[in-house]
Amino acid sequence: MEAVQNLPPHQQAEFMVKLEQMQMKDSLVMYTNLVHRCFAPCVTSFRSKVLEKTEQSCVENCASRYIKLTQRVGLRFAEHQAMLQKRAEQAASAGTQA
Amino acid sequence: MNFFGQKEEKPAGPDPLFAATTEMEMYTFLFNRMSQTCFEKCLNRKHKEGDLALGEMSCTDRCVAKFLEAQEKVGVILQKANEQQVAQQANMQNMQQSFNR
Repeated sequence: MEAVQNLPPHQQAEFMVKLEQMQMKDSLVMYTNLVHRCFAPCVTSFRSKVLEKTEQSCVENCASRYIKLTQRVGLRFAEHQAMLQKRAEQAASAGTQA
Repeated sequence: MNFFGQKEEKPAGPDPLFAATTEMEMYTFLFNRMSQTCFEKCLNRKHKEGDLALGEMSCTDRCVAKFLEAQEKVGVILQKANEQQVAQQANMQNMQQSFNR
C-alpha cells in the first residue's frame, strides 16, 4: 500500500473522502452482484411468483456464506500483505547493512 | 506493491492523491475478483447450510494463496513485456535519428 502510505498530509483528508465514496459504491456493486450470484444457482423453477421454501433458504444461506467467504479472504489477504511488508523490510535492512 | 506486484520507485510525475486513489481501486478490484473466483471454485452450489464447511474453508485459504501467487507471476511477465516494448521504441527512435542525419 505504498502510494496510500506515502500520501502527503495535506491530501490525506481528501483521500479519506474519496475512500468513503469508493466504499459506498463498492458495497452497492457487491449487493447487486451477490443477488445475481445467489439467484442463479438457487432459483430454478417459475411455477409461482413467490420464492419456494427451499429457494428461500438457499438464497439466504448463499448470501451468508458469501459474506463469510469474503471475511476469510480478507483475513488471508491481510496476512499475505503483512508477509510482503515484512519481506520488504528485511530486504531493506539487509540492503543497508551490506 | 504496485500494479505489477513489485517494488516501485517513487514516481516523480503523478499526483500522489491520484496514485493513492488508483492503488485503492486496484486493491478493491483485486479483492472482489478474488472473492468471486474463490466463491465459484470452492463453494458447493447447493447452499444447504448457512456456514462454510471445513473443506470449503481450507479450499478458500489455498485459493487466496494461489491467486496472489499467480498475480505476482503474471505481473513479472507483464513487466518484462513492458520493458521490451520500451527498449524496442528506443531502438526505433535511434534508427530514425540515424536515418535523418
